[in-house]
Amino acid sequence: MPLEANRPWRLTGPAFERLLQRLGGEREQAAREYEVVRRRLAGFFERRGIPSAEALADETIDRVARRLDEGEVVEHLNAYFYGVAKRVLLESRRRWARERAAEREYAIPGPAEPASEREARIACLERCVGALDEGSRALLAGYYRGLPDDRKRLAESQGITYTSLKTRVFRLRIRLEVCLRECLEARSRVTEDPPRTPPMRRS
Amino acid sequence: MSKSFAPEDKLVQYLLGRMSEQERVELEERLFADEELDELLLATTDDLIHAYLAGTLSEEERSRFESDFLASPENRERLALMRDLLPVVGRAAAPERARRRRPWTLAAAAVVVLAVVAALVLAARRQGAGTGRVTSRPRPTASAIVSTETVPPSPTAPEPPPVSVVRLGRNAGVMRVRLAPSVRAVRVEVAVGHESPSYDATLLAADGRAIWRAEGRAAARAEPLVLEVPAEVFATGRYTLRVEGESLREAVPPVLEYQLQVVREAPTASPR
Repeated sequence: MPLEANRPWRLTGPAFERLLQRLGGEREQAAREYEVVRRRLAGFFERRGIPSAEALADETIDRVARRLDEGEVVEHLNAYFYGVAKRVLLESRRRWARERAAEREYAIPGPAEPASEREARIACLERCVGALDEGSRALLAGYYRGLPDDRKRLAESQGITYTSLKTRVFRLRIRLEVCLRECLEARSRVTEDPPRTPPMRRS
Repeated sequence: MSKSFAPEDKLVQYLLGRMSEQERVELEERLFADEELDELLLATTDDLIHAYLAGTLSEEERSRFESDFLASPENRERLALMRDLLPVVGRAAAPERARRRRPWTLAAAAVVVLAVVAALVLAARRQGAGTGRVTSRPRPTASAIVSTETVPPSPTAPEPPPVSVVRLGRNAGVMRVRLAPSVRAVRVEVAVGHESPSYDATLLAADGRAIWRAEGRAAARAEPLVLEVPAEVFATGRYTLRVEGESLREAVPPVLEYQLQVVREAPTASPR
């Protein structure tokens, strides 16, 4: 996922210094805090199934540093990082969607290519769900078939808490989203052959 | 819905835009620092979307969901993804459920099949030829609706139970449906134009209450949309079946409505 297109501004030395000052009083402490922020940001993007998490973390830090350098008063820095990260995430997804649309426009469709983007997405989802192991498929189906009380019973039957079940199902959903993205990328490339199902990544 | 999310109430309030600015900032401070909480937020977001699609949100929650939650382009994308994903998951799981049938169930089914076949042969010999009614599976038609018929259980398989078939065309008017006491399900075949990849169906009682719902049902090409409604949801009375297609490329989704006048036949004592 190319990231440079929307990054005309580069982190300058003074802006970086200002960010460090904001992160901590002493330089060493500020450097440690910087690493914590960067790690949290990378985690933010990884949890959302973004492959270039570290690059987006850096982009987020750059933007925050720029705003601070421009004199913006930021009272709650963590919440500010969180908000900027959400914005960066949205923009990266839009870039990705634009790139897929452009690739589709110039691609030579294979004989079995679905007519619309929506149909392509459903076909990819079918491949991705099919590539899950049977237990994961059953877990997803059981979870989404039931109402919350059924889910609590499902969690009990698995010997885990309801919250753990929710998180487990969410991670499966993110695996499917990553698989979907790779499948759509494969489809939108110029090819005469039907795309293969990409291997499922485990989170 | 609020009850469903009891442990994550705060997160739902955040997602539905019910928090004050101060509360929102405080929560985002925590979300940035606590990765487990952030992951729980994402999982809760999926659950909220699922609840919206399943129609289990309260009126107020649904309104908030549409005005606040869906104001975010990212949330709209997630809704679109879940809308496509859920039917796929359901379809993928269906064959597995069938495969998981226990061997003894199959053996028992085989015994029942043999018994039914034997009984039919005996009955045919006793009554002579021509008394048995052969009912083939009704073929879908693109024309307006037309008929209901009861399909008895196939003599070669104990399942499915007796099913009443209702075929609905584009201009069906009020459809009269008589349900014998033995009928366990109503198979509704709706002629759809295939302008949508999948459909949601809701059965409404005369007072407007939704009494049954199915989501993400797809129809094969040149086939009607098939809905299996448990007969137990029906009493004698008037019903509305609303079938709503998913929109493609921002088009207005097609919505079809049918009126059903259901008469439940009283059980009769079987002659000895």
